[in-house]
Amino acid sequence: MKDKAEVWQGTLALMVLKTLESLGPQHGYGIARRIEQTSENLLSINHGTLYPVLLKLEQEGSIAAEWGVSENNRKAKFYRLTKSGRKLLASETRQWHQATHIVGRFLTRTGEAS
Amino acid sequence: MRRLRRSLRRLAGVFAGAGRERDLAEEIAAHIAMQTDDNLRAGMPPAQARREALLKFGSVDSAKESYRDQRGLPWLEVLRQDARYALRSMRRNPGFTAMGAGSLALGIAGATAIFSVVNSTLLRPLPYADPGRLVTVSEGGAITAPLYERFSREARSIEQAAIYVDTSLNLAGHGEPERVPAARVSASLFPLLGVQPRLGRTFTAAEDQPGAAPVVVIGDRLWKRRFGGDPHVLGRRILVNGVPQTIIGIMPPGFQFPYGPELTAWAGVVPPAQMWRPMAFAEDERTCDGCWNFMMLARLRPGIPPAQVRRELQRIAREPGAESAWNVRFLKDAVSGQARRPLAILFGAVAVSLLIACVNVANLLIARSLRRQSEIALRVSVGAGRARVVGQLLTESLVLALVSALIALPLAGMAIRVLIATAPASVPGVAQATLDGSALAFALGLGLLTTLLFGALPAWSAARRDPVEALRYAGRALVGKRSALRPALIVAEFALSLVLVVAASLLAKSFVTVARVSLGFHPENVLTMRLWLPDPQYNDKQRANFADQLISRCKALPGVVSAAIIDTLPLTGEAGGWGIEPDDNDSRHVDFRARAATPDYFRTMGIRLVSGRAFTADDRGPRRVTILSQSGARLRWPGIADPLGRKVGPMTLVGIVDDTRASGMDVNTRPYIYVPFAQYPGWEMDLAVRTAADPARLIGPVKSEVWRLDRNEPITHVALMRELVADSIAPRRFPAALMAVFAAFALLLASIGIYGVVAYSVAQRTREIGIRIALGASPGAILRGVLGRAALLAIAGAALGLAAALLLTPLLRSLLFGVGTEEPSVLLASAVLLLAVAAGAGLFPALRAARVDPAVCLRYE
Repeated sequence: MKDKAEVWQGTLALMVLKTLESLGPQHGYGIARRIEQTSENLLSINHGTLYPVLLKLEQEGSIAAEWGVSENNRKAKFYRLTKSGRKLLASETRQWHQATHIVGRFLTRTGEAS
Repeated sequence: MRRLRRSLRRLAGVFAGAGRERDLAEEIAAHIAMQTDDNLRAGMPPAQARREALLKFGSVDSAKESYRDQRGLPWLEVLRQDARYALRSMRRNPGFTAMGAGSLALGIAGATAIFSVVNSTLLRPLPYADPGRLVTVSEGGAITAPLYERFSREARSIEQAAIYVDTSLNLAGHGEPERVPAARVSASLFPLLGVQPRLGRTFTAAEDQPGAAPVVVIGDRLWKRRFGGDPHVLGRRILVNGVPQTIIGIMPPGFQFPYGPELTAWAGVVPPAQMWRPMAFAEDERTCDGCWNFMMLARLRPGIPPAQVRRELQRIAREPGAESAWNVRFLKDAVSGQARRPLAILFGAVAVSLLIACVNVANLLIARSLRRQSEIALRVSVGAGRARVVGQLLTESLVLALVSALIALPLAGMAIRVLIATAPASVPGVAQATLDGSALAFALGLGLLTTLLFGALPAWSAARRDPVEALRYAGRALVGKRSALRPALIVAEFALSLVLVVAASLLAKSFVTVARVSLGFHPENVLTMRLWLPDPQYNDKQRANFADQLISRCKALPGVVSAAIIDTLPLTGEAGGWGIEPDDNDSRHVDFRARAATPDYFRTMGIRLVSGRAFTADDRGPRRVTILSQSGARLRWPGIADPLGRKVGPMTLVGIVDDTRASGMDVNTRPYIYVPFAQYPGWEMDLAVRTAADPARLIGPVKSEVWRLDRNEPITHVALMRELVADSIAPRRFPAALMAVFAAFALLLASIGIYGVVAYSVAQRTREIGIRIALGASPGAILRGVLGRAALLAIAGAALGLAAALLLTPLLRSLLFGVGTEEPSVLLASAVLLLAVAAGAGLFPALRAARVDPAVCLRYE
């Protein structure tokens, strides 16, 4: 049984991957902002929790990091999706859809019965 | 795949240095700065913009912490910290480190050295192709040529067969003539063993025929030593036993065959052969049914057990029933049979030494953890888990064990060289013992094992302690709580040491007994060699003539005192038994060892004539006379004081001589019957020459006299009687000396242990002792009290050790001679030695206790 943190890490990782796919190379702050905006601020995270997730994805080889300069001329670490990261994103997305679909149907059914 | 990659990256992350840490700090700083920029742009005042950014980020430290955990492997990180801490504290306590690592290193080194020897002699497969299918075939230790040929032709369970015999050859040309240990082997031997020469080739079937051009194969050692490793030596002719022979092959380094111990046909130590020549049976050898001179080696067909081969051979030999005893042994067992027991016992001894070293280190560690009680208590009270404390202490032992293993390796290398130099040549393969990969693995494995053994105890006892208690009393207790664990360890240590001391004493005592045993002859200044005068080249009359002529020629040599011939010399074999039935009511049946000797034999060997006369030149023809050994005469006519003139079968007893040892010095004497050689001239004979000075100088002249009589007479087993005596006790000296080393080592460790315990308890009780002295206790009383405690430990250890020794020493029985395993004098002496060592070790701390100044120690309150 995975603990909560691990589940959260997994979800967050998926969001990071998706963000990098749609935005292209991005720094940690940018990723955090994008996740907040996309979730319309429903999902408010401590930005600090993002970094261990980024490190884990980097260690897996799903993303790669490079120092660069931000739009405001600040030195920042930029993350980009690698080939294997793209593959991972595709398969994780599929799995996520499947899982939500099943859970959704399940919840609807039991809801009708009661 | 991704998981593997991540694990590798994390492993690498453990060793990430300050660079990665700075990276992270910069990245976080950039993140907060960008957020602050955005907040400013949204219209916040600068101070608020930054605070909001910080709030949004959350705890920087917690983010860093979980980032770090993700970066490396947290448990490995902890291990690294603990190991670092351990190394630092080892550096800070050099005394402790030297004592602990030193004793452990010695223990591991000893165990690794013995392991290497055991590995190369008992465990490692013989260096031949598929050695598991090689067997020796013999009856009573030998085989005849006709039987060998029948077996190799007819036995279906045998895939390949070879016949061989050890010998030695005179090598001349290219430098000084020398006698080289050698073997005559059939052409099938090398293919059977599956060994290729390093240069050249081995024998062809055509070369294994009588009359073929003579060729030899030489060993790597001889090649390097005598020919300087020159490859052009191939095809060169050298003089072997005076006959030019062509070198056709050089065997690879380390090749050894035959081994020696499997050559039970000839007792004594056989040096490894360095020269091989083809068997090339002469016609008389090929057909001689009585010449049990050879050894047979066979490769079994796969999956066939020796017992089945034995039945088949029995059938082929057409010897139905239990009469014959064909012996089919795996070559490996035949080779290592004699060495197995002593090595196993040494291995046991070394294991006990290592155990003592571990106990010692455990003791040191416990002492140290007691001193660190408050440190550990502090750690526990600020939140370190028990597991974490145990882990840290175990890591410290692990570091200690690994450091010890590293120190142990060069020591083991030295010990192996000493072992090789002192081991008797009869321990097969001992020269090949090296510090190889398996020995390395063994040493490291021992290091880990000892960690668990000695590290677990102190860690467990440290973690069990109640931190509150520990902090409250740390350093202030008047009468410290005494732990039962350390004294128990000391008692165990002393008990183990005593077992080793007893074993060493028993071995040493049997060695001395053997060395002092009355030989029944005087081995000094006697030169011996073995000759063969086989049928049909010689008949009985010719052999007797040969003996007469050779003896008179030898006596004519300057420096020769006397010379004689006997069919088997003492210490060289047990062959030749005669059971003689009683002749009258006074006599009994006796199984004698029969020896045929020339008149001067007793004088030459220095065997005392007890009564009657020795043989004379006239004792030949129909006049049957005999001489008995003293014990033989007593057995035959118990109760008859002077049996001279009585009958032994058809022979008249003319003399009685002292008993001699027949084979190996520790086999008890047997009854001997001597008959004149002229009447029983066997085809195998030993020549003994007593000289006035150094007998080795006469080797050459005596051999020339032999060859003057018969140019082609093979001479083997040239030896000085003194060497034969030394060789026969050498196998005892080796284990006795090693056991003594282990025992001394164990005693040293045990005394260090008892010193440590007593010194520690004195240090702990300094205040108590101070108060006692202040209240009027005399220094003598204090001294007695402390010493008494040491004595108590030692006595308990001695009692336990004596019980263990009585239980374990019967395992030694096969190595003992003339001593029982329950020898009271040995047990008593060992126990006294142990107590003396304990008293010595306890004395220094006791003296320190007696000198405690109450004023000084109470002032610290």
